[in-house]
Amino acid sequence: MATPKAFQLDTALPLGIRTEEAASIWQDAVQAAGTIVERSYRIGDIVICLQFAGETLVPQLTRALDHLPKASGEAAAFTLKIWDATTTGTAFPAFTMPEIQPLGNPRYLLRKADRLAMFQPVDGTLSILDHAHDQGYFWVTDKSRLSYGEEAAPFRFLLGTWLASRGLYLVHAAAVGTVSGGVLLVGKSGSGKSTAALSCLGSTLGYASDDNVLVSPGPQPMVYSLFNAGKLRPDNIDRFAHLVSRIPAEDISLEDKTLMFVDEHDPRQILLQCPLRAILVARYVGRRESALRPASPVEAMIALAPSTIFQLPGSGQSILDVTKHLVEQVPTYHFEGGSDLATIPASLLTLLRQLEKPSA
Amino acid sequence: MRLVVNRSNILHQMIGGETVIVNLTTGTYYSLRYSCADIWSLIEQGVQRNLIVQTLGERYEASAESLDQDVTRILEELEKEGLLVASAEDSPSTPHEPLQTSSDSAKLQYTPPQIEKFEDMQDLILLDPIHEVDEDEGWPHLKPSN
Repeated sequence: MATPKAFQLDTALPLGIRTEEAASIWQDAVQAAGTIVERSYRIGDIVICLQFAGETLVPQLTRALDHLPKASGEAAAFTLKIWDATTTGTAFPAFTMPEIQPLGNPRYLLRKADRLAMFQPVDGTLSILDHAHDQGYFWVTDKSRLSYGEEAAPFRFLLGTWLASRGLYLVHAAAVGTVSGGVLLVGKSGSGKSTAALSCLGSTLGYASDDNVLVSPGPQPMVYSLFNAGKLRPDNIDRFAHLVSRIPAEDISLEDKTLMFVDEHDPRQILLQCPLRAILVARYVGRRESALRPASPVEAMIALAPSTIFQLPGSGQSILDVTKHLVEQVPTYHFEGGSDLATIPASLLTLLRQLEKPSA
Repeated sequence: MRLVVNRSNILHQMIGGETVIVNLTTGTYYSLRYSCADIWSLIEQGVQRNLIVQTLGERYEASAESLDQDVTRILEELEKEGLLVASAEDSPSTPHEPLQTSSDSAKLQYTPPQIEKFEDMQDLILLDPIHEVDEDEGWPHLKPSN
């Protein structure tokens, strides 16, 4: 096996837009791994293809996507090449800290007209999107560096950015419903979106997301599932014991959220897509029963747009435009999820039935 | 010098007569309603301060003095929040779009403008900040706005 070339960081040229170099490193990674493992998925009418250099990253980065219809052998509209530095022996670019000392988990975003890149030094990941060729690259130093967030929403930045160019916008929302229609649950962290979505498991409502879902605007806005992960807060472990029972004990956290995959729990509960019927601004007020009351479109937009924008760097004005369209196209409500979780799917089902009735 | 929208750091969208503004740098977002949304709309069109006061006076039942004080206050607050910046550019020569009026053209009841501010996303920006890399200089050089 030939020794792979090390990636030479040349700061005279912008990092991340040198897609030719990324392609070359990818070839080295494939050569080192000895094989390409492919996973192709269909999202609505779009086929995306994930190509992994070897098996190393496949288990962690496909569980959240495995509920999507498989599209093996179909021509892909977007191809994403994925590898890790450790397994393939490819060197990761040296990271020089800028003069300002970043806090937390900084994301460094470099944008050009037809390509962009995001570097997350704490996670050890580099994502490159080549719009011109409808392909992307995802590079991580080592599989042990993959964050909880990356496993729950793999390649969120790359997929979210590219899919937006095809009219599918990734928003910060939970989504449940039936094939006849569904709702978005929006609101800041802790508002009860995830709890509401997970409480619908076991009901006649399907689950599209508890945190990130795709929407397409239009005369009839549509919702599309992208990730089937669900996240359980420590204080919800007991309430959702039936969901936790299949999770290995070592994966259950009492300090942070526990990750579960709805497709592994019960694939029949997955809702792949549905027409959007309403947007609900979620909040928990401590009452036993769930309740709905009208919300203004601007209230729904405030609950949806800012968090979406901040979670997906570069999404910007398009998200404001899309969310404005959505809140003007469908009714908007405040949703107060009850402490009696059974009342949540019941109230959402009642709402959907009312909205699906033809007007008199 | 006049105050203009700080387009390098913010996004905004008008919906139903209200304006939602997102400050990408600080993680703060805002809702402007009624007269406050009108002030923003006029600023966004490059209208000078005195004409903003005059235009509001044509729309709202309020004294010129109170409008003048409120416009001054709001402009100061918007600038303090980083949503407006000083500019040496001249105002646009084209007339601004008229504010929406009621069907019977009667003046509207006036409520002093208020900026509704939301800071719940600031922690996210602090913990997971986004730094834009200078596209000409490349890594690790950040854009000056960072």
